[in-house]
Amino acid sequence: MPLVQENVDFMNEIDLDKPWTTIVHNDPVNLMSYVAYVFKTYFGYAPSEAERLMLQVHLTGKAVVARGSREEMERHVEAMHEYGLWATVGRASE
Amino acid sequence: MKQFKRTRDGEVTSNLNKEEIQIFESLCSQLVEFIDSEDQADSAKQRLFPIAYPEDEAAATEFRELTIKSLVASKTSNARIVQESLSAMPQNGKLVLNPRQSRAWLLCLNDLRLILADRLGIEKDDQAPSKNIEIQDLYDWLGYLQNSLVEALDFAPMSTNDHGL
Repeated sequence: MPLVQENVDFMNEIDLDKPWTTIVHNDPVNLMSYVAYVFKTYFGYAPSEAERLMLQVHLTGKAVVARGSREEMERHVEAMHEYGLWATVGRASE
Repeated sequence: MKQFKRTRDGEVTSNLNKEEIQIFESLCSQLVEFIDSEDQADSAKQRLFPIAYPEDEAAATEFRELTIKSLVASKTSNARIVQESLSAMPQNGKLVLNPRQSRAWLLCLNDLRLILADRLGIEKDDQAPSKNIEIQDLYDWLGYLQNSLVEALDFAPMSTNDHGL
């Protein structure tokens, strides 16, 4: 008898602990003002936090802008691509 | 075309001459055609639709399959809204954008700049201007317009205690 049932979805189990992230990467095209504006309007960040995240992207090359389930993060990444930002889905442990 | 300005009604305005209208009509047509094209290997195409899972090819492919249609539709729709706003302009050359139209302009300007940057070979933040002066000038101009549009939109209060930077 197996230890666990085969149809148990471990990925969804892990999702509950919010181990997925939305990462925005730096690129030389997107304006700093625009990136901060996207963080404010889409994620609803306060201006100071949006500015901090934008600078983190600009100065260090990337920033985690959201954490949550895989589905949520994919929705955010798709939205970022709609805005033209270079975004990827990552794992919180990375 | 000078910088965008926000009106008291929450609309955004600018003035365009005939030549500028033609430039935008042409850019939008080219953008729609490019987005619709089959050439997935084009580097600008890859920048418009980036790989969501850089280290997981299967997940990246699945993400692409799930999102590509709506992303193409959204980017095409933005370009169409820009075109419509240009055709609806009065003779005096005054462009007036409602919130839906200004959002489309903002995102469309960004997509156009991403493609032009690819064509100019812009890869670093502090890169010297390209020798392709015509495209470089167009790229710089679109950047100037986009920045003024962000500033005009940013003045719109998002909540009672949030007045932008």
